Amino acid sequence: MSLLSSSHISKCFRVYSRPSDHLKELLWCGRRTFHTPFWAVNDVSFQIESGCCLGIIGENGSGKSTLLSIIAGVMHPTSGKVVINGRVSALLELGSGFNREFTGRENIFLNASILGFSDSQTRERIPSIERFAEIGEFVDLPLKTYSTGMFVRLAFSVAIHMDPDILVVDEALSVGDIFFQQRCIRRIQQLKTEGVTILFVSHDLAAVRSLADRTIWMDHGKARMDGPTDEVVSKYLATMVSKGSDEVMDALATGQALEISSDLEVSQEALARIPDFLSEVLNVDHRYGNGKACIRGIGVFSKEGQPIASAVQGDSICIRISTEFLETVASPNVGFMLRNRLGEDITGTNTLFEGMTLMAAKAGDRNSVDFIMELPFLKAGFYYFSPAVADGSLGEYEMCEWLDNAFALEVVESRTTYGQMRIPVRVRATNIDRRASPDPMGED
Amino acid sequence: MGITWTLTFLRKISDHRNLLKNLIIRDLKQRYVGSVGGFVWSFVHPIVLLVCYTFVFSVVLRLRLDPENGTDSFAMFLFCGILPWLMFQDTVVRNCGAITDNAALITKTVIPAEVLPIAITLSNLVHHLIGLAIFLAALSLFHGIHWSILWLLLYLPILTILAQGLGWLVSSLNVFFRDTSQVINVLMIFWFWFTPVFYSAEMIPESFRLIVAFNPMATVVTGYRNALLQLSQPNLEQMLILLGWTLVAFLIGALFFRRVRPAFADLL
Repeated sequence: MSLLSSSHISKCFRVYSRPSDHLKELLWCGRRTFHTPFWAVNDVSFQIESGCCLGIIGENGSGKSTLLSIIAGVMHPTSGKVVINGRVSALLELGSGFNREFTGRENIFLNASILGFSDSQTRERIPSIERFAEIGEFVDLPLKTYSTGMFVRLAFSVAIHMDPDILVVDEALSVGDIFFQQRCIRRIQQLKTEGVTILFVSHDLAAVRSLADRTIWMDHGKARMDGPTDEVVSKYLATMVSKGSDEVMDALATGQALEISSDLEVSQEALARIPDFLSEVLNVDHRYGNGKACIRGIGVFSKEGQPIASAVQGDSICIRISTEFLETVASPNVGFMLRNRLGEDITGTNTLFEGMTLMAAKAGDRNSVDFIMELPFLKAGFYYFSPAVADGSLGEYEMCEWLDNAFALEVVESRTTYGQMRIPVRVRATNIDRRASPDPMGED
Repeated sequence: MGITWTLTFLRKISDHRNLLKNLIIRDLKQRYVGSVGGFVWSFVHPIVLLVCYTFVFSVVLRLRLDPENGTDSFAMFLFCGILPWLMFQDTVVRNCGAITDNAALITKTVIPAEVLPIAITLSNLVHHLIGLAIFLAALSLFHGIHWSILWLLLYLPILTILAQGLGWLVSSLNVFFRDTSQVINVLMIFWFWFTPVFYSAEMIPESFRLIVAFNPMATVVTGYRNALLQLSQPNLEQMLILLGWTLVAFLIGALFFRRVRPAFADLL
């Protein structure tokens, strides 16, 4: 038996000119109607096995969110049936059901009790909820004092801690701060491996691609396509591109030629403006290593030497990594990995790989390494630097410290970027005249 | 069918008793959220009311009641009636917003909607009990308490169920017509003055007695007063009419609520 099966569900929003018409109709028990129908979801059937991750994509107003609300049990379908064998935890809108006047803790209890948890069951989960939400002592302060990010983190944390068999998430991943987004995605992946079924709606096709095994494409209330994610997403994209072709053509017409900056180097004066030793790591998702050396700071700087959090494709940037050695490290190697927001490795490098040998270090030594590069023409979005320091050669080494996602850099597109990245290309076109002689160079 | 439906309904309520508890706590806290005194205010209100009544009616106006009213203090007399009335009025009025004020819970979470009005009623009951306890303390100091107050054990649940029935009705009506709360506010003014709170049922001229006879709150208010001031025992006939009203209000409220509940999420 499948975990969730929905057969022929439809949702008709009845559009009433007045609310009283709605009541009249309910009291007439369907013998008279006072509305004009609008089918938000129209005859959608699907089944999900446990441990499957289903993505739902589609344009605005295609019925995605309505479908999710019906599955979550918040809305009643007009016809059709949803059968669910398990507990559903829904995150239909972050922080819904949260009261801003109450503390985080009080809201956790209230939310858990809506899902049928007893207070003692909730109490057991509180430490773990707090840990994931990372809101610290704010848990005992009213929600109105929270930042949006804290709000989002708490809501997501509560939802995933309710032992769901099915986790329903509506667009939730697109809000919240970038580090947390990435952590949510990782957590969803982890829940998936634990056998939790996940249903999520997203406009973020990259997230759908990386998370969903299967995807349903909703179009005007109908399931236009239901199948393996890659197939559905490509088909969807192809349709969207052909639909919005005017837009695409406009962008092509106004684009300028790609320019490759010739001054790859960040000047010495600029480098001098950067603190010699950075002592701030903005974020640490996870760290590991033998602790013989510690990364004390990482920062990204513009070619003027200013600290930056975003850069335009092709800009020259300097990534400075500052390390303190706590024990003797014979052959230190400092480097980084650049990842996208789904945690996929984009590229990485290190001093040894670039042909530089750092001096052996003893306890108390400190150094800073600069990686000066031209920012690749990556698709707009957030990218994360994970710095590391190791001891050994490229082939055989011991990790001293690795920090996951220590620095986030937002890449700004200088032009529309198709796919993951844009490659600087030069184009040459030649008109071939059919009537010309076989040798085009012969005449003229 | 009625019985099985009632049983499944009660089971549903019992399954969600923890939710109910948290909602009641939330409601109690919500009144005084951000205030330093917090729950203490629940005790201050009835005391202030009692002191003011005594000042105005016994000290300034020097109203003295005839002995058949059980007490010569008009303030005591009034308080007996105003306690159940306030419980009733406050419950019905606040229930108007039980669904509409919790739109986020209704549209974004799987909450059993009927619990929200119940939570308001029960939270009001807590306040009512506090008021009652304070009044009983005052009564024992200035008047004396008699076993007849045990009749309250009959009137209290009836009052609660009556208010709950109307509460379900107005909370769901308010989803469709936001004017409901305005209508209820006006209606409550009429209802209040046509209920023997400021006067006793016996003072009403014969030709107007019918108004009281069919007013369930008249029976409740009189019943409270009789129980607290050790007057007469409940009249069986009136009690049956009251029970009838209560049952009708409860069933109509519950059935109406159940019938229109599926539309809540669409409308909010």
